[in-house]
Amino acid sequence: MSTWQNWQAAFLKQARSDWEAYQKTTEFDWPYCHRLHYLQMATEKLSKALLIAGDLELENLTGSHSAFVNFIRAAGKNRKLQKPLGLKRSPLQAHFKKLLPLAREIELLAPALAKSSPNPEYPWEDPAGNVLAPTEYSFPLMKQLQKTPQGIQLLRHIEIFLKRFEELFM
Amino acid sequence: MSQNHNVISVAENLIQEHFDLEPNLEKVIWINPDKTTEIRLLEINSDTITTGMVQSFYFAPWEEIPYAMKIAEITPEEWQKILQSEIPLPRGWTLENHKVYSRELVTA
Repeated sequence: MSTWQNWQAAFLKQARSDWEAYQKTTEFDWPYCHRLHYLQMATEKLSKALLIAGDLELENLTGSHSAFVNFIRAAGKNRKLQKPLGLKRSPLQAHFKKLLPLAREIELLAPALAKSSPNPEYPWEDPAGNVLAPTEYSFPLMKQLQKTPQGIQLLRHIEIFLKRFEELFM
Repeated sequence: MSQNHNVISVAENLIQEHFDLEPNLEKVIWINPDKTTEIRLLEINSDTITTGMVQSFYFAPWEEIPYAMKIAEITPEEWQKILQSEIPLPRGWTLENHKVYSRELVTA
């Protein structure tokens, strides 16, 4: 019989693999949609790896793509993260709150949440009636992640969380 | 100091801290406060996003808080739906035994 620990290990393994794929896409001049697709998948599964330990039913985990924003909100309450992230005690929650808008944008990349907005997987129709493919869209989010302090910090945190998940969260 | 007294003190300090840090935290529900090995909190916060479910995150015990914790943030609307049994609680959670903390109560 499978246990939540088996499911957690599997979610984590897949999250790490998605993150590796995300990093590989940065080595080439690939369209941003592919990078963001892997990033969204890595963050969703990272979040769900922690949710599994929180008594959530498995069908709730697989039936929803919302998890990363709440994961970042929860990280703001986790004082165990202070030292490894080099943060002082008081601003932990404030620090993670500043990252929430970008976390929300990553979460909303999932087509089921994006609905008729830009997403990295399926074409959509813009307000002017143009049908766009993800591969031809510039995704301003990618630049925000790469060029703003919040974006750079968020990506660094995701990497640390994935690499040191067992030590930091379990 | 008894184990039960310890867990009460840790949980209530934590709840107080969360009220201090979160201006839109309306209520905290401590689920099964008689449990001395784990602290389960439902935090009703209008700042959180609606997910339509109770996403409880696990916090491992460590030197400052020697108890496992599970904390879920929900919106006031989601709380109403829980009370009407439209949104289920996580596995093993029940409202049969719980304590409600409001900002007024913890700052009194």
